[in-house]
Amino acid sequence: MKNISLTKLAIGLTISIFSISNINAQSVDQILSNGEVRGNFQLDMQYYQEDSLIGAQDVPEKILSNGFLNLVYTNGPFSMGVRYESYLNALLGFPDGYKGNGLTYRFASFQKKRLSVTVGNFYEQFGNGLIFRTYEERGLGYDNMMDGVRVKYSLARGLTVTGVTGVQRIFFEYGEGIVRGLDVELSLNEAINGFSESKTRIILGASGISKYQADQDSRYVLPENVGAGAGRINLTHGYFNVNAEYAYKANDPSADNGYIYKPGEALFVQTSYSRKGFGLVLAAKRNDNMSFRSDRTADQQNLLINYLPALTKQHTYNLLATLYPYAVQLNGEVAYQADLIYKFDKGSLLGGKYGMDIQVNYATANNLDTTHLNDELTKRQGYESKWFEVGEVYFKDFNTQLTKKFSKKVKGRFTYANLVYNKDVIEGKPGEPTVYANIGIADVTYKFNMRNSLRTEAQVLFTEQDQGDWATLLLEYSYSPHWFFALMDQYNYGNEDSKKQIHYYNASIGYNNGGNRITMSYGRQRAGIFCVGGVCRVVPASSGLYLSITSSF
Amino acid sequence: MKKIIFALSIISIIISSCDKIDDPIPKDQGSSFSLDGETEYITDPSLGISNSEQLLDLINSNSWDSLDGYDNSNRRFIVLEEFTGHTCLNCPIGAAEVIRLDTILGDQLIPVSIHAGKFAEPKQTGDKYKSDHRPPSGKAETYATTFNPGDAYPRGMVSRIGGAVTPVNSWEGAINAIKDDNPKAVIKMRNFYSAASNLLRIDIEIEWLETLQEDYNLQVFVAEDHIIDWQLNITVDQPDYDHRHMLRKIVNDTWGKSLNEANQGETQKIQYILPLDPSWKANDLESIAFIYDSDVTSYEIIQANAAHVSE
Repeated sequence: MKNISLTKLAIGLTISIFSISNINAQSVDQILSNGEVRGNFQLDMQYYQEDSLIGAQDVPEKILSNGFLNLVYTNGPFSMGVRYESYLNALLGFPDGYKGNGLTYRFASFQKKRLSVTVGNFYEQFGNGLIFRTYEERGLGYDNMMDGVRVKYSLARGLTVTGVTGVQRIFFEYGEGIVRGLDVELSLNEAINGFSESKTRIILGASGISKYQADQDSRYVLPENVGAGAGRINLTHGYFNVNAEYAYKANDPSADNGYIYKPGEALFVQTSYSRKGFGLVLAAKRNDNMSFRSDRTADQQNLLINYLPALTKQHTYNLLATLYPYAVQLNGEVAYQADLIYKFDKGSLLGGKYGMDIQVNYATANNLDTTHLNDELTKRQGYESKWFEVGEVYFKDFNTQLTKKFSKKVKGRFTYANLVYNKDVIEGKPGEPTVYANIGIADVTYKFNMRNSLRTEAQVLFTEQDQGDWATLLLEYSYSPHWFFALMDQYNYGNEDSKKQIHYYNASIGYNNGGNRITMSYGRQRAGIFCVGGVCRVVPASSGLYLSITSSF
Repeated sequence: MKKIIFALSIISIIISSCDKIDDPIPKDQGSSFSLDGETEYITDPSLGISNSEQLLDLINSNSWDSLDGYDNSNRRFIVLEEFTGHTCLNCPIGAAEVIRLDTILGDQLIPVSIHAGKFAEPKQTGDKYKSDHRPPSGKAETYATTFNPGDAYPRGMVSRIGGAVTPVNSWEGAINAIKDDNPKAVIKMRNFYSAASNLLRIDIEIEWLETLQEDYNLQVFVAEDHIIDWQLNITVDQPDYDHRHMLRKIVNDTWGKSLNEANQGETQKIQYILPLDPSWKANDLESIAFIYDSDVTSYEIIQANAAHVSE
């Protein structure tokens, strides 16, 4: 791995100076007056207390913190930026690689007519990300940004080409693999005369990615260059939309797949129909051996080149979101999701005076139906899989949510969910039984007046497996527009072990003003899993005082 | 349209910029040549042979003494792989059982003592157990972790049946269960040895007696007999222990060479050419070849043979 070199920042500065020195007609003052600096800041800090009852470990440093500052300078077609990150040391649950301070992100870019160039760090995505997506999800400690060069060029009206080359971030370093790629996107409505006003909108795309990593393995003959390609279509006709993409990856033996040489495939299809008061989304996905990293030995969320979208609902209520969330299985899964939203109009039988929204969602994910080949000593294809059949259940989630305003002062949201959660596979804990859970949530807000309101969340989770039943009660008082106060208790009252029937209490206070937000809380945080888009991080149990400051400008 | 074709062409180049690997298992057994269109000659990398002319020159410029292997056209030969180590106090018990069975079965049993695992590690201090009897490159350790994951000693496998080691007292029964089987293949062996150059050519011809559906690999070893060195024998540090049938070299990599499909009546000829370690005693060396089912749920050796290097 290579260290991030601050000297590369000079590239951006050089471009900046060069640009200024070549614009003779304008004074430096005039140029600078057109410039704009924007940014944001975030600090998360926690004082940890040992709490043997919940398994909160002793933290030698007592206080841990994650800090970020983004600065972006823009001046006409030119922009440059940096991000400073600080982990002293990183909050519990974040990868150990986040340790220390540094400028982790710096870039410079300019645009000239049809050409747009970025050097340094950048994030990019081709299509749905099946073969290439770099992004940051700070809450997960996920950042697979590129460091290199990106060029975008509009070849013709409606036809855009994007090329990238670079290496990927892993904590404060870069992975050893080199990633090269190209994406072509064609908007038929823009490209074809007479089609621009059509009710049917069609965008076609094709992309290719190749990674290079030297073969230094004595066990196997490894492919040093691994290629992947994808084709996609996005078709919209009136209220109807289809978004489909197919991806193929050549032999890519890695730690993820046990060093098998079987090619990877992925198919993603999402259709939707949406009109006022009604929305229906149907989606299907099949990915087979599609873990794609720029370092074949990497694990967890490190150095992923691609992104396999999760076809499960992103829940927000605590028990639903963090006890049994689904993590996409990179080695293979078949997933389906249906999502229906319907709005009962005001004055209708069910809508009543203020109307009512109902959402019904069903998501399922299964293993592939595979046959093991026992060819570890020969071709190492690993297994065969059947396209239209599925194997073991990984996850099921049926949930429905009803949102209704009862009066000018009272509104509520009521949720029911039924989960099937294959803990053995999803959490990688062999032998753990599959969890079957029913969850009910009532979220009611009472508005005293324009400034004062009280929100109450009551949640229950019933299961005979794992830790048994849970209940959560939350009281949140808001004093608009700046203050809020909250009390929460999560109680694992159904745990078979009476010593583990623990209350996880928490009190918090927050202040918002003009883009600044300060939150402080004290209490227990139970162990759980935090997921965003099917990518997850294990959050260990902790206890103590938590402070968060965010600001944007 | 030209621009679209241009862009798609670049994508095609990127996608095709990948290495398609048809044979993932390394062949560090050396370079492969054909001199007569019939036999595949495979030379050890250390010989530095890069073309057929050099190989021919090597063969023609040396004088060779030949010794044939045994006739196994009517018998299934059996390989007994014994995991052992010089500081394993009970291993002499296993070795004694190997010798007893070898005496009973004669040339039908091919013993191989594999020094691997914690008991085979050489001592860094003192004057005992300093020899490293493990084959180089850690390949025997791969066998140990694959077949003897419990790291128990002494343990052995009879023709790798079951794909895992078994205790000493089970070996005889396992041998008796298969010793009268009809062979599915014949392995003919002939060693060509050049004493002047200390080179060995192991000539192997496989003839399939049945058509088989499984995929088979050919594995070739060199073993040395009668190595006198330290051995912990129960409670005694014995300085002059006679180590028998010690695996010295895994000639064609850990898992051997994939063979052609097993069709009845078809033959395949392979010759390995390698230098011998000057510390090995040529008179006590033996080359061993066996065919095994490459399915990792099997590993079963269906035929084997051996040939002495020098008289």
